[in-house]
Amino acid sequence: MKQPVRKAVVTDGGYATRFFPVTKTVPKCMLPIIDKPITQIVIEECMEAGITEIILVATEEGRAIYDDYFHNNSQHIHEQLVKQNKPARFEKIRNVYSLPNIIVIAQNKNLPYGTASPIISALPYIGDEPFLHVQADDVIVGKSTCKELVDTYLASDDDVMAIIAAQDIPNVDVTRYGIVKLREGTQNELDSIIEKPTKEDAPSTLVSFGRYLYTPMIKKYLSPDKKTLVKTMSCGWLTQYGEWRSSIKC
Amino acid sequence: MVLNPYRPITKAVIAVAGYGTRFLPATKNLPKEMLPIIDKPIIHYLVEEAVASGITDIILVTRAGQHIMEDYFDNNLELEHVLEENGKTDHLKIIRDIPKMANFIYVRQKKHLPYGTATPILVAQNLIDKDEAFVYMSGDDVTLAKTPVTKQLIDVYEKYHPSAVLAVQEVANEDVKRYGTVKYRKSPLIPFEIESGAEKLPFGQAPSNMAQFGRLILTNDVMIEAQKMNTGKDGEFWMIDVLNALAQQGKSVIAQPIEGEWLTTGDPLRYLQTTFKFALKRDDLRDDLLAFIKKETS
Repeated sequence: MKQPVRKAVVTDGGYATRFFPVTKTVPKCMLPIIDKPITQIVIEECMEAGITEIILVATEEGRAIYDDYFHNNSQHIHEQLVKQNKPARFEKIRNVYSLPNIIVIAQNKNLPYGTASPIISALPYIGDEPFLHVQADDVIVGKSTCKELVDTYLASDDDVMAIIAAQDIPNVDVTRYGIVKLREGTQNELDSIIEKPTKEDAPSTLVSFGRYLYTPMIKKYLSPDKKTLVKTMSCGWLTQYGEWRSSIKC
Repeated sequence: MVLNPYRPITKAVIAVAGYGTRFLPATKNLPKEMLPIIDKPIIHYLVEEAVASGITDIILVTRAGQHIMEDYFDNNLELEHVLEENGKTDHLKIIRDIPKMANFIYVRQKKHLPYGTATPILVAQNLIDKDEAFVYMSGDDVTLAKTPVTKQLIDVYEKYHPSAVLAVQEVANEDVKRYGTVKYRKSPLIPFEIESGAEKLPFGQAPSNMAQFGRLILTNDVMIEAQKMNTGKDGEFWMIDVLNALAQQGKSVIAQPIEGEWLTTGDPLRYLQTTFKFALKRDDLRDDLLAFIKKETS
């Protein structure tokens, strides 16, 4: 019997210099898509997968801003909307409250830069159970990838340690992404992820993106002591143990 | 040499106390003027325009919950430290230059005052001397122009020294109802002097298609009139009503058509359109963006 997946680690821990100067004070995934912060769109995707607890990992300054966003009840806006006779607009703020339990933490500054560091920062909030890792700067249009990962996990063999999402993009510019190499002779087992390969070296057109599911078995590879590992491998530590699930159509 | 009896214009009051509720939930704790046009907050473009027009003091009329904006125009030592450690000198310069743009002054809009486009000048009145004119900008509006729109207005002010100069631009018939519009005097002493102005009237009832937007030069005459706090449409306190009152008293109020383009960010559609226009001006984005839109809409 598989354990249910209840928790997701959502990460927005970078400094987003490509969006300078606005990200000088606004965390990157607080930037809106039209009128909703990217992080909220991503958390809603997690909810579709049945997630009931979010551990949101941000920078130290971002932590305060996210905490305010998800937990402040914004009575001053309510008062203003009542005054302007537009109380219906407050529903959009109420929807923020109906999101799952969200714990906002700052990424441990002593950890090196890398995609595994936010997960290590969140480990104290995760028990002995499977969890999702969601990079907030990837947004899904259509069916929840988080849900697909959870469904795949529930149907998977017991020795599968992790499941990563990938999308087959035939004409993709491989030099911009992590490209999946499948284990020889398998359809859905991960051999490795090649970061930004040249066109010639690319093992496939399967693009890895920011949705992962980890079982408690991976924890032993996530020790803060293994700094070099965390720094250089990003999610490469998955590659010998993971199961890659079939490509996801978005 | 004749001494100019008028002080140069060095202060800009920028109204940023709105709630931006059309952009909820993003504006739940992000001031609307901190929403980006691509990678720079809207307010940054306004400050740039003011500075390029000779302004040295930026007075931001804010409300509770807008510290993100104050932090934006201040140093962020933590971030600077990280960038320094990583040798990112170009990025370091971008963020270190922001606090140097101008002298930033913050004043809170008080709850007991009526809500409206004229309220921020009452909030800022003690920061403006009686013998100086000042720039007034609304945080919703951005402009694309060879000569900054604010500079165009300052030039007009310095030529005629009227009670006020407001920027106007012709809008389509169906858009007239969204804005304050003006009626010009039949035989003005000064070009573009107005006889009257009115807020948000439908086409046909509105004085004209010349719509006022958030760039003005104001003087103490306007301050005195604004003290009366006469509220108008929807119980709000409108700048165009204040200017209308002055024009009716025979004071000189110039509605200057601008060279360039006024764009608004007041609602999601116009915000996206404005973002798109700005992106088309950027060499690093234009071609790829156009190709993307072609692909997505074909």
